[in-house]
Amino acid sequence: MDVQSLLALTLAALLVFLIAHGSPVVTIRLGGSEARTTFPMAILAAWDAGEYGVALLSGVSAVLAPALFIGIRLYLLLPLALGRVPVGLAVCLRLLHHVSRWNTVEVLTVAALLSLVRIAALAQATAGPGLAALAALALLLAALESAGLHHLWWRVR
Amino acid sequence: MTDPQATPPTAAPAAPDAPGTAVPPAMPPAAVPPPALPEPDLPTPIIIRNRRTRLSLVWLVPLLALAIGASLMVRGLLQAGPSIEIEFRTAEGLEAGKTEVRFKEVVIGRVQSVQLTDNRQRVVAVVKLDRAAAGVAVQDTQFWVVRPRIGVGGVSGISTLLSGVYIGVDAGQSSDIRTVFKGLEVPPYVLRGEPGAVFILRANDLGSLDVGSPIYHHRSPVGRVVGYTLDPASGELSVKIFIDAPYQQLVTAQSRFWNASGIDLSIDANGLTLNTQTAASVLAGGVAFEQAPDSPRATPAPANTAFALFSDRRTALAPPRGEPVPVRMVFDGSLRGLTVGAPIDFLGVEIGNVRSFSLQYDTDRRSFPVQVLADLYPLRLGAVRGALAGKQPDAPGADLALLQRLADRGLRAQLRTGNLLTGQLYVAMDFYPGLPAARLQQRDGTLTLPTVPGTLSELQSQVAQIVQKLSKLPFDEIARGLADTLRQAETTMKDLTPEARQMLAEAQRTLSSAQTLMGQLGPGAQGSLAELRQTLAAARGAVERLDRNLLDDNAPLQRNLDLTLGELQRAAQSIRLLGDLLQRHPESLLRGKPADPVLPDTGARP
Amino acid sequence: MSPTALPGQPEAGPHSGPPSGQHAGPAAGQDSGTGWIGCKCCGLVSAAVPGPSAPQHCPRCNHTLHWRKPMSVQRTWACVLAAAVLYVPANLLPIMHTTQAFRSSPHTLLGGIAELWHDGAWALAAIVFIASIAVPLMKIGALALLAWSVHYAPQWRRLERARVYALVEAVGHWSMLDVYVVVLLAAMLRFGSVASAQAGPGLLAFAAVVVLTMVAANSFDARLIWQDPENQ
Repeated sequence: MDVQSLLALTLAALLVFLIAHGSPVVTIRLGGSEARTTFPMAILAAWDAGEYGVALLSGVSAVLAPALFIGIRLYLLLPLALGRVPVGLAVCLRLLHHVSRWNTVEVLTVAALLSLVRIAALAQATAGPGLAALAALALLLAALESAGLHHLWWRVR
Repeated sequence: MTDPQATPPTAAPAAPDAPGTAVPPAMPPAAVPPPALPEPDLPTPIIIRNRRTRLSLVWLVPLLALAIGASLMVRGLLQAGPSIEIEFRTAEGLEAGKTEVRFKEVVIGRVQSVQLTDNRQRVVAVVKLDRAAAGVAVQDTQFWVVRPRIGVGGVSGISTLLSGVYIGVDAGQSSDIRTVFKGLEVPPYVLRGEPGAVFILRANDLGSLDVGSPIYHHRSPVGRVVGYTLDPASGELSVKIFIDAPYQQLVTAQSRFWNASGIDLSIDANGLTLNTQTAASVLAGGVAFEQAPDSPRATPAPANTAFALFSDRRTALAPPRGEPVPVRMVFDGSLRGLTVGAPIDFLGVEIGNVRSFSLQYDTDRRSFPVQVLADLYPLRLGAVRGALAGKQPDAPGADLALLQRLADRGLRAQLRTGNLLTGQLYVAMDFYPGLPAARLQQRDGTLTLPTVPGTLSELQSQVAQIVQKLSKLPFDEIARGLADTLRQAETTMKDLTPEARQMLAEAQRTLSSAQTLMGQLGPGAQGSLAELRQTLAAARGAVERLDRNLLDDNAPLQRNLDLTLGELQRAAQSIRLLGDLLQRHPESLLRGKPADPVLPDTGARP
Repeated sequence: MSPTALPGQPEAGPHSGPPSGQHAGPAAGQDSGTGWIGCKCCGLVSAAVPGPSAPQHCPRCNHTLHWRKPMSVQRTWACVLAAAVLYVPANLLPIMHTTQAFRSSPHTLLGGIAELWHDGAWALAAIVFIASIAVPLMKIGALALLAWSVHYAPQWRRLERARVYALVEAVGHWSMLDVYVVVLLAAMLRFGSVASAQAGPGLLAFAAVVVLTMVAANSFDARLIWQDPENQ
């Protein structure tokens, strides 16, 4: 895939990422009161509850890793689209290499669906826009991953 | 030689640490060139230059994402209304992001955050309202927290135990926008727009009234007390009540309100009276109102009209008393049984009340008269007042002149027993024609009425005198003397008996001789003797009658006395029984005698 | 001849030639020697410099070059054993406490799956079972097997072992499923005593198991599967 397409997909992934983690994943109504959670709020709640390890792990694998994945790609692709070689290409590519391993957005999507189903037994639960955005994000990230950036290694010299 | 250019791996991960990478790492061109081959006559490919800046279709993807994201944001912004701050005493139950603001059970906003004020005395809840409800943030809107509450007026807000507390709103109607509010600590008892009317009651005593106490009309609840204020300067108590629609029409300018809390039980000079409203008012207090008797049907009173709150039904429905005329009466003797508020009765009409009484010392007579201060209400005389007062009954000195005129005719005040059972006294004003006209003195605006001693006290003093005299009699000596006399008479009788027989025989002889003598004397003597005989017979008859009527065992007087004594005995017995019953079942005073226990069935009866 | 690409197959090195035991490079464990090393990060093949065993870096991406990952088997064993030890409390301790209608009840991994099964949500029960029970156990078992086989069965079924490793790496991160579900439920169910959920102590152990298995998979150098033992 050429740089333009990659850039387009990466931008899309950025927007979808923002929607996925900025909009509520699931909305619950129980007995007249409503609760809406986004995934970062859930992580913060886990942190406040004292579950530091779990919060840290979830945050790294579900928020930080995709963010870096998209962010580094953007950082590399934008100059490339304009015809320049980005600074620190090697470092970025190495970082990407490690980050890709911890990307678990598709797991998060399935987990969100699972929790939706489990909550539906207790209360009135509806999927929020965050859930669809997570699924879209998973697809986009998989597409970006399969496209890969290894041909960029050419430019490192 | 190994080919440094290894065949690019396919789907399986090539770099073992990067799962998912599928694109082959293209090899750099700096390697061993491929072996040269003989060049056939190959056509040269056509080179088509790419058009510059050709946007591929893949750009639709980010555009779509942008569109969706933008629409979500725009929708969120459109739904967001103004942000307001509400100050409360405590944030109990309020949760950031979760607690809702509801107006008539419709969610119109949500609490964003809860913080302490700068001086850490109160909390501030930042609330984001929906755009549709932006009109709620005006000057006279009120906010409060709906929590479970248990009070005299009832239990409210129980559903919040399950759903969590929420903030209630009473939207105002002003058009000034306001963003900082002070929340109420308790929900207001009257919501704006609630149909009905508010009235004010002025009272001396709150009694057992509280916010939420019901208002009754003919024993059906028509409203409730919504608040009360005590003026710290004047001590006046104003009770604010709310009458629901459509009953507010029943409140007219002639309506009388009274405190109907509890049980109205009074034992006074008029006897025993018991009055209650409903059981709820017995427990929770209540106010009742009725149309004043004999008043024409009046138009409904406008809202916020003030009424007086009377302490019981009787005083409420009594005809208006008018201005009181303070009077002063001085009595001799004990005033035990007279209470403050005792009625002053004039020929059966209650025209006043005793306000106070105090002991005085008269240095001249060395006695302790009692001074009674009372209020007279001449208006209670009704039409009589008009007749007596003359042409201008409402002139300032008219009442005094009226009283003077009555006193000239012999009007005096006297203490009488109103109730033998309790010994309650009341002041009765009556005419005593034999007494001289008295001049009513006025001192400090208080008229002094002349008094006569009470009949009971007279009787008491007379009986006391008799008893005193009786106690002075030397009963012992008399008894002893009588016994001596009887003994002497007995002995004398014994001695006299044979002599007496002799004397009788002699007397008989003398009489017969006297009789012959009388016969000899002449018919005149016989006539007078016959008269004498008649007189004696009449006297004997009279003695016999006397004997029969008074001394005989069957005499009606004796029988009546017996019967009366019997009745008294039975009365005393039944009083004793009543006393016993009351001791065992004091509630029977209210409920009546408990049913007799059922006797066990003794089997087949003939 | 070009071998089909499988994990562990280096782009160059001692085994790209005839497999008859000709060693162009050093055996496992030795860093020095002649031969080519492929960079795991960028894929560049560079010629190893013979000399002291100081770590060498890829000229293009500066990633450390290893013939084999140092102490790979040891590290794998360590992580696998730690994961196995922690898997016990992860299953015994509750991973979530839920309060429903004023009753609080703890849920373990297996308990939650059983509940889903009893409620009739068989597909969900199967998914959770696979993700939370089958996958970690499979990973622990597979990695243990791989680590053991390097020394004790070096030539047994290399292809299958390589495929197993690929599978382990591919599905490794799916074990995070239950962790995310608990985090989401705990964050969403905050209705006080009517419905609420909190993470339990077992969740941290389970998260540790997931992390340790992922680190173990990362530590294991798949090239060891294809390596002939020294004494052969």
